[in-house]
Amino acid sequence: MTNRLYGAWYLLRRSLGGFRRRPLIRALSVATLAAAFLSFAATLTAALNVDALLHRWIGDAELTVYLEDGAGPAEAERLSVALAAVAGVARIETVTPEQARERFAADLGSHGELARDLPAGAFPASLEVHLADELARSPARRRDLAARIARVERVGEVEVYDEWFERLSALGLIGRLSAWGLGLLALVVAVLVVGATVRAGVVSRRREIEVLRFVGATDRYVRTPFMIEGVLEIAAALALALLALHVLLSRVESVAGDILPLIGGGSLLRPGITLLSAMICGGIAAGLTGARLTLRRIGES
Amino acid sequence: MIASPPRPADAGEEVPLVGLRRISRFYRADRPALFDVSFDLFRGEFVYVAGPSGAGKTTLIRLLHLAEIADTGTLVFAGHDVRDLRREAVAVLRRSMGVVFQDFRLIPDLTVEANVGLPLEVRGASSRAIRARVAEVLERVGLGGRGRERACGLSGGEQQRAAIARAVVADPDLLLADEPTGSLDAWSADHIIGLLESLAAAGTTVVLATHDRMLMAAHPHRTIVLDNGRLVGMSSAGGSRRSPPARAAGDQPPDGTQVAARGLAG
Repeated sequence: MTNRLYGAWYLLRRSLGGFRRRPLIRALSVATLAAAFLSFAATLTAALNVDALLHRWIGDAELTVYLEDGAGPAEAERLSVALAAVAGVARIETVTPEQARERFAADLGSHGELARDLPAGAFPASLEVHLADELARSPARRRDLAARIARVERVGEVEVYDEWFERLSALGLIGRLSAWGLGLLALVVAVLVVGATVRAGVVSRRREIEVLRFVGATDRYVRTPFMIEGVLEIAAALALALLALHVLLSRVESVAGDILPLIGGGSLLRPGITLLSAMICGGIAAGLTGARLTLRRIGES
Repeated sequence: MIASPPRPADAGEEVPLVGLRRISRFYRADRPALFDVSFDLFRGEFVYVAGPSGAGKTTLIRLLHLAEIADTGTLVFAGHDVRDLRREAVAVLRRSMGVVFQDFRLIPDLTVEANVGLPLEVRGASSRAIRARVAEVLERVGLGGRGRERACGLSGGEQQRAAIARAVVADPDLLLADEPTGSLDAWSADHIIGLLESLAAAGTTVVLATHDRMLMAAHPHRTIVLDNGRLVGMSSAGGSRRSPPARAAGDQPPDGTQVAARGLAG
């Protein structure tokens, strides 16, 4: 048992020694891997935020019915009752001109004063129509409903948001696909980069390996330090990528923090623990695979 | 797979530590590096492998070290037919050997201590035990106090001593040395041979490949003579314990000293 502990300590020491060798090549490898992981994590984070934004919008009114100028609370109430009877309409919320102005001011945050200076006509009374799920997710039915509402007396304009939904949905889909594509690419990069650095390590330490073999080192004793080096390389790259992602998101928040509420977003979403764990496990598995494949190939030759 | 290298039987039981039977090794089909070589090595023997350049000495050392497998024939080490052993078992078996190569094969950017301690490290010995044993062995080879220096900073002769220290540090059953005194002056060579002889006296089997006739004359031991990959003779000079096995009818080796001289002259 003691022998095994000493053996493990010697392997770890050999790995750390190997990791510190050729610092420039090692730094380049870690930077390359970190860039790959960061691309994946940043793109996925962006996609998550677009999705969240879309869901927030879908969670708000899917239709906004603006009344004509001069339409009072009585007309709004009458229209609200009529719309509530339409199949697929889940809920209706009446927004008075004053409420609309207050909401806008709140959205502007520190620039709220601007809303108070706008003319009364900029904030017509409106009805925010929340649709049942099956209707909310069908652009055709939504448009059909909007056309019918637009023909009702005293209705000025009906906003459907279709264009925004479609654009954001497409953006979210592209973001998700890109993120997973980049994730796959990051794994391939991890296999190749770790494989290449292990190969370089084996070549530069050929004499040491040869000596180890003739003093009785087993294959596992020779190979394990290279595997550990691969894992250390991945761990360093992941740490660097996550730090860079944190800095990037903090920077985005500080620059665009005031704008996000205006477009319906809250604070930026960050990757959750599940996603981070998957990234770490995937990265380490890819690093081990790269090291193992290379060592096997070298061992066979 | 064997858990640890077995200790060979005592020489008194007449069981060889290593037995070679009709060993041949071909790198080229038309020219064997070794051909039909048979002999035994017993515990505590000091044996020279002599012969001119290209005779097959290094190939024989590599076969004994299990770095290569013979194309034909049988090599039994400590009761194991090496052909039946898996890689891991070969590695474990090698721990009962020490080897000194002509080109030292030290790891240049490691310290002398680290180089010499490698066989013990591979066995999982404690750091303290390694330090103590390495210091003792370095003292014996005349490198006391030089352990902290990098191996690449040593002279050729010093590197040779460090390589010898590494070979003997784990107290091997079989010590293989390919021209171990080639880089040493006569006094140092004499000192190192004395060290190897003391190891043999303590039970280690020493196989030393050389073409240094002066050395063999000064320290006579059984000598296996190779020429063109064939065993052309085996002396029984000083310390020899056995006659070589008969290779073929009418092919009994003549007097060993004469054969050794003839082989070297070739």
